[in-house]
Amino acid sequence: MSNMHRESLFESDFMRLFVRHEPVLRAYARTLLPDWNLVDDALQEASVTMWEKRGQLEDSSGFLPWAKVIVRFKCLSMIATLRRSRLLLSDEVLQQLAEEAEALQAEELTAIRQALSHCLSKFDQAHQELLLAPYSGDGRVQELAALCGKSANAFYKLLGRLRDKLADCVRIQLQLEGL
Amino acid sequence: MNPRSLLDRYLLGEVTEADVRQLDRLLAHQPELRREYIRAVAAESGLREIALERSVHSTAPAQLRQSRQWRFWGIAASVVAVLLLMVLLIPTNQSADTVATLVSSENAAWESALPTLPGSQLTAGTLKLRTGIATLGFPSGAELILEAPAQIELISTMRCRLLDGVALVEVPESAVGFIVETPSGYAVDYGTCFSVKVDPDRGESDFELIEGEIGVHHASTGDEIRLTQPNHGVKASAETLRAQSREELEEMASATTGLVRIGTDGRATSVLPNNKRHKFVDPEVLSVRKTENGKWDYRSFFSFDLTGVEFNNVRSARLRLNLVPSRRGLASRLPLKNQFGVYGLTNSDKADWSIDATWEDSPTPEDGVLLGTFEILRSAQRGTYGIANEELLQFLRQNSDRNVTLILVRLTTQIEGKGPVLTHMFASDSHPEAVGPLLELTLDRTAQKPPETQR
Repeated sequence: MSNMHRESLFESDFMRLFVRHEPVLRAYARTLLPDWNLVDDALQEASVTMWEKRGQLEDSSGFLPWAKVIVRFKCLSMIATLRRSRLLLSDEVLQQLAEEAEALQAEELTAIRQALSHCLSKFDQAHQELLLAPYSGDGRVQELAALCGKSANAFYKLLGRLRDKLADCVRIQLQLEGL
Repeated sequence: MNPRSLLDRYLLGEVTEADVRQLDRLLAHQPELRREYIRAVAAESGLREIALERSVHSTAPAQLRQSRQWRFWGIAASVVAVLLLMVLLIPTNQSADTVATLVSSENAAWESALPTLPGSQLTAGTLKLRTGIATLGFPSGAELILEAPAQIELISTMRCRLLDGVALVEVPESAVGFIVETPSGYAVDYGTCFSVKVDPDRGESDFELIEGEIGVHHASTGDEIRLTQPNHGVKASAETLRAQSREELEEMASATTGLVRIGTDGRATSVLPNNKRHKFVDPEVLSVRKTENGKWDYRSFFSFDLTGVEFNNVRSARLRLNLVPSRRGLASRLPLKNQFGVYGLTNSDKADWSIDATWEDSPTPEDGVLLGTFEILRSAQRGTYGIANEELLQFLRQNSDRNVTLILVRLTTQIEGKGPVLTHMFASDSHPEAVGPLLELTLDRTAQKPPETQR
């Protein structure tokens, strides 16, 4: 087989493609997995598999759908073991979500992210901090609650309201952009 | 809780078991909520990225933030490190046991010990596609589109064996050398697209080049025919390998080569003991029924004109009967399996039966010899049944110069229960949808030219 040339060309391409599509793959994995730590684990494992199987790829346009199949498979196999310890949606619903999330593209994510940045800036500093707390480490929400002398439960209620507000703002913002 | 906050809490991991179950039900039935979910996850990703970015620029790093942040960047770094290591150490290693991936399926129903969900990684083994279309991707880059009914054995990333059915094979440059085996031959692909069709009954396979180049080899002799012209084909049988032109391929597509089908030409009917055929015999179907008291039984018989068939060339014979949904009686009173007998008429006194014969003067099983039996499950409403055996062939051979009559009866009766037992119905020549009884004769390949189909 005379594909040595192809392969050496592809190694640098692979890195570039992986880095470019990582946010979409991450979001895709998050559709299936219940938290971000698991998503990171899945992505890491999937990246190794992708590397091993990069020979399947014909060109860069095929990368994302192909990578999604691998990510999906990793997530589903993780879910099988997670089910014992975590509260998860049923396999049928997860399968369906995975199918429907297939269409998710980088452009859409970028648009959502820009809308988020814009909307976030409308909140005051303390609320921004709370909105970002769930991604700033396990227990960060409780930590903030303790700092303010409130119960964690009350804080989650507040967080819920803030998130609703943020989501509304994002939706309007995206509609303005025709998405 | 409204669906949206339920969804939001699920993403935050702040839910009870009851919440999850409720959300699951809602998601299963509301496509709109699923879109909402996907969008919420996308927003979730965006928020996380912003959080991570901000913590990088934050002047007062909390310990927890720090560790979270390093976890993320650490992973990115380790992925790159792992990839670099692999470049250096194991340049072309494929995962050991995965042979192919199930890329997609349309209305596919499988019989398989291997996983059959799209996206599944498939190890070596056999897949049987009952209905639909499925695409298999091999790590080498080769892609195979299977059309049901088909059976395929996955052997390695560069080799598979089609046991039955039709497949379209596409092989990019990266998979040059990909091999598709069949029971009678195998094709080595030199970067192309070709189709392969396996007929296990006849032990033949047809390879047709669509684009590029393939080499077709005979399974036992190893002879090779190279195909470089699109739309040219090779037929591999147990004994030989034969190149085929476009014309022959077309001819083959009409599936008449080497096969003669003979119909009853309207010479088919049913009888019942009270002989009220105008009222109880439907000319569109051949009715068959047997009960304990025998008062409302039906039997059917039909004849085939064998004059003109050169039986020296006939290798095998099959009687085909098409079951159609019954309009009389209840299937629930049938035993699970129902047995039917096909008799060949030998009593020459009954040979000239008329189409409106009575129960008494029409041919009965006692007027002939049993040629074979077949079974129908009581749940079946449609399908092709019949017999194909040496007894049938011998009987036809001995009567090859005339009309032969076959008699069809049900051998099993009914089980305990309420209501009348079902009458089985097979299509007659006047059925609007299904084909009437057919005799299928396979001709030996030494025959010079395949005769025209007879109906």
